[in-house]
Amino acid sequence: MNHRVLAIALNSFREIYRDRFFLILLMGVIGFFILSILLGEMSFEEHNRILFDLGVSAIHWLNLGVCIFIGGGSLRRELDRQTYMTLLSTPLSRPELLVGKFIGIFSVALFSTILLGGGLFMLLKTWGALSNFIIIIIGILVESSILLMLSLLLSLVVSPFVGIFASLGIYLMGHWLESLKYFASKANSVFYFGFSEFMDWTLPNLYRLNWRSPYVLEAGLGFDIFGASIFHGIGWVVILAVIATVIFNRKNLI
Amino acid sequence: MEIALRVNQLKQSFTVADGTTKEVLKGINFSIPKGALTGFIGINGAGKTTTIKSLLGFIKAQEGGFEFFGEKGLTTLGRRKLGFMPERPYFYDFLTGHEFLSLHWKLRGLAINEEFEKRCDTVLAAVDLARAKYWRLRQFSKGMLQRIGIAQAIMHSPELLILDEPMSGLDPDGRVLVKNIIKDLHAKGTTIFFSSHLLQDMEELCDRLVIIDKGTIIYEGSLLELDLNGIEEFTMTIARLDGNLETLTVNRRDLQQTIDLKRKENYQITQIIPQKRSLEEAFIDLRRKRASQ
Repeated sequence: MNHRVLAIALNSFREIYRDRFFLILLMGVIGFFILSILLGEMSFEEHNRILFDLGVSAIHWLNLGVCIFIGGGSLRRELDRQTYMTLLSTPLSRPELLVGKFIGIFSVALFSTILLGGGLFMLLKTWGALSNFIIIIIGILVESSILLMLSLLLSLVVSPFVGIFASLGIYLMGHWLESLKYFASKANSVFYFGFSEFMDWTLPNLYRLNWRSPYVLEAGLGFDIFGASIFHGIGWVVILAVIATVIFNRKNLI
Repeated sequence: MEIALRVNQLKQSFTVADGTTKEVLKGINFSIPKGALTGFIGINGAGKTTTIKSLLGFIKAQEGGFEFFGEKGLTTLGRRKLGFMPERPYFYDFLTGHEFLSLHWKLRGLAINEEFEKRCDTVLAAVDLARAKYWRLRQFSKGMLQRIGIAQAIMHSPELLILDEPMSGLDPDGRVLVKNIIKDLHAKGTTIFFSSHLLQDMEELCDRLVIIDKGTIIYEGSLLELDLNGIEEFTMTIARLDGNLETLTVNRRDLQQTIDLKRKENYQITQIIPQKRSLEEAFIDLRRKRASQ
């Protein structure tokens, strides 16, 4: 990796783990983890299932918090506080700054996920194969990478507040796309069908990466579904990165 | 004379809130010779920061352009030779002084090694921040932030140093320190271009000036020329026949006539000194003349 990108990534990583918001978020997630253990203990038969559902949800929310709330504000803060000025007067280019930020913030999500995911898998003991658990975690991480790049892109064009709400909106729409397509196929409306097709082409289908289910943990996932979904996710990251780079390169930093 | 920076017909305009376009830079031209210490003067809103932001590529030039070290635009190689400190010293407050300097060192493609540590200590000592090496920047005062900003700009010994208002907001001690750093770098051959509206400091430091007013360069040249061009009065000392000295203040218009007259009267003219204006007076005069044109 380019050493300048690496320097920015390391700096962004440092920025987040020294940020109070992240520490509060992490504490909240750890608290939720403890709650899931306690609730699991209270159940006779569904102990592992409760632990799994709540634990994986906690990891998912931590990723959402890091990628949408922290990621969305990170680049915007750089532009508003003009901290970019000394950075971009060095040989660092704007695309390198963008990619470095992405890698740095994503690394925080990745390390937190590995840490919490490892803990959760150990608590689950023998329920589910490790490979299936890793598939679920990969789904969460690929979804997070799309949301992070989306948040970075939106932070270049709208205010942080609008950007966070737009990212959350796209996150929800991305999960409802399958339902939207299903209802559109049942309804006899050309407009509804056209709208669902339009949404399907213009928004990332996050439902395809939603493998946070005990079924996946037990039975796994076919390679074709896994491969196609990962390709879909990474494809969206690349598309969003290209759009963000073009916008950032053209932007006048007044 | 080798040129470090040449600006050619640089134009910049912005759309303001009411939808109209405001021309901020009206095709400016100037050049900075290698090794010179050039001051960039203008009142607030004259276009100083827009010029600097355009040079560094933060704002795309609408028309015209610039050359750094003979190369068109600011290339990666050009950036390696450049040090810059912005007007508002807003840096990452979660970093320590050492981490902040190491980030900029790495961004310039240099490795973190013993040389970095040595240079870090030298530069921090030069800006009087040796004690704050491991302090977080959020613990720094405004003056300290200004000085760590200068430290990151000079760490890699740049050939061209651009400083945007380096002395603003500093206390007298801080100003003296920054002035000494600038003088020292200039003595070592670094080309320095810095903007300020503290004309007293400019007068003390610069050997060249670029003056901008309402998006137009109204003066480019040496400080001495600027002084002499506008001098209206001279102090003439003459020796009277009894040997006593007499001092007269003579207007530029009457200078030759007075010299002739005093010679005819057998006075000996011992010296004629142009009454030096302050840079502030010269600046105001220049703007007034420009406005009346």
